[in-house]
Amino acid sequence: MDRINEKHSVMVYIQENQGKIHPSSLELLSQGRELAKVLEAPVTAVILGSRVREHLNTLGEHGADGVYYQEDPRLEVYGALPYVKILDRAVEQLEPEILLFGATLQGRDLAPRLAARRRVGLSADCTGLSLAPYEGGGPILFQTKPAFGGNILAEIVSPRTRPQMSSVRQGVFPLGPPLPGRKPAVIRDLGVPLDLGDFALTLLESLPLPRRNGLEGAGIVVAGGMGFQNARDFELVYRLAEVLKGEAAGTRPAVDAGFIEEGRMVGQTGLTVRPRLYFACGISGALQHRVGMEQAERIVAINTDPQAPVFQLAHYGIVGDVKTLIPRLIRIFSEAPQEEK
Amino acid sequence: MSFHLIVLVKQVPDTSGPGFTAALNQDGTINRKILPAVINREDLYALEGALEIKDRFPGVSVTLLSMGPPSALAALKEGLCRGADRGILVTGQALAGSDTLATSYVLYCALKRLEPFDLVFCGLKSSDGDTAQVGPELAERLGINHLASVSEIEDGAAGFPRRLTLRRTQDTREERIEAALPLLLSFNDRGREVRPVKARRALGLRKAEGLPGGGEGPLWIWEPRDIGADEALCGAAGSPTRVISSRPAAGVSRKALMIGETDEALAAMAGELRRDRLLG
Repeated sequence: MDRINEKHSVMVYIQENQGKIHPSSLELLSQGRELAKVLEAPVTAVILGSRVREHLNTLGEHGADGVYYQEDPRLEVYGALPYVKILDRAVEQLEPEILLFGATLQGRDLAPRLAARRRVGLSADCTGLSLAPYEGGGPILFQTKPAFGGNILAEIVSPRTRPQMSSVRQGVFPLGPPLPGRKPAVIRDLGVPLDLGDFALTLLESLPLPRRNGLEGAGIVVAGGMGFQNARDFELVYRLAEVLKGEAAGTRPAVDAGFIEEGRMVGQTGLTVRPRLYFACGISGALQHRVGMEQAERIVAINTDPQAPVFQLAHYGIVGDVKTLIPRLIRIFSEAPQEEK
Repeated sequence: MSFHLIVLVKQVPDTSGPGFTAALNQDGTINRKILPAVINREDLYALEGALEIKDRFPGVSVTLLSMGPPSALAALKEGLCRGADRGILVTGQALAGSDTLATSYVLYCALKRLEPFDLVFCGLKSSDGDTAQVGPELAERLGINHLASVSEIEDGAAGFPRRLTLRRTQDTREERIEAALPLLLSFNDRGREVRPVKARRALGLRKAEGLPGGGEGPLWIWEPRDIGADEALCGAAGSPTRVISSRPAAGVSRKALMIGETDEALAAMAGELRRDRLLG
């Protein structure tokens, strides 16, 4: 592509932290291409930071037709004021049809401030985007947004205002393969003048994020609920997790009962996990827990009640008492695999 | 010197309890009537942040501001019992259906009437809408700086009322930031303990009703006209986003393969998991 119409694009805000592009930004470029095909529009990318020029070609390889940037050492620390000022100017000049942000902490901080400046609609933390005709007009963006801890999905449109803005949850759209050597047709320095008043914050210290346990990202999770009578029996959860080289977890009631620490809580008010194997031990399968684990690749449930909702969710169900079943599972899983090869 | 801190609170249905499944309607709406109504969790951390400043510095007053139905007065009463000085509810039919942009407009109009103020505190997001948008949108309308996802005010708010040192959670790191006032701060869920309700105050407020305008009592009720809000910018009419449908998340529904309790059956399941390379 030699020349593009730079206007009415699908624009993606590219988040850069400490020299790296945030993965959600590249996913959105891939998805942006799909949307742009339907609209017959270009894909544009905006990147701001203290050292961003090294990334401009990468953005082309991931699908951007136009790349707009501003590089300034003072943009090293994220601050809403200068970032919104620059983005606002980019939107004013390029009049994008759609503007997407990763639903990261930064994206969910920056997007609403920009939406308020432009007086446009914004939907948060979307898990689906599609284009469809609306009230007899051309295609507009239909945004799927989970609410109430993921129990409800709302379909949202912003028919009257442009750009149509969304922040999109990471991992919703697959990251397409880069096309090595694909160059953006336009690369432009936005060159928005910034003044002292825009830099109203000073970074005193940058610290690593507080280390969490290995539950997020664990391949195997063994979780326990109120099927355990006391903390001593709950130890079985830890022992099975240990044998399987997995991580222990618990439901909200198990945390409230003091069986397991809060940082290992899975569910609506705790963590969402996506292990390849999840053991739900003595867990009934209430909605609040479910939303935190139902995306596991394979689920094994143990419960004394054959009617427990967890059996509508699990791949394997075992009716029985965790106190007698888990020790037997521990024995079976500890045995060397037989007749393998 | 007197200083004025504003805390935004939202009353939300308590969806953490066991009653939640029963309150979920087929059409994807929530039957709020059968769920207890509580102050949004992160708003309590925001209130705590404000009250700590009030504890340390003389002449600080804390005003709670909420937009919602008349029943949200209960949330304001709770906030007063935790130590705030005054609670204001902005309510009215014209506000129904407000999205975050319209909400930020209404709160902006109310804050204009509450000027002067030094700091605005709020929760990062509400547990029901889960957008995290109202804080930054309001800061933009007020023309003041904001910091989102604050977990703590450090050093006992030593620089108050000129500046604060704050701990902010970002995507790849934690930051200690010094920022000049005025500011809007949204607090994340990493907050610490919040102070309990004072029983004596609760008793005194039991029968308190919101008074219109700016009366003597600690609870006020404002309607859009009291704050000069243009109704065309409020409620559904003033909301650029439109919810066109809402449904319960499909969720997974499958029938578990029931495994017998025998050692052979359990071993067969273990073998299958191993074969499918699901084990470590």
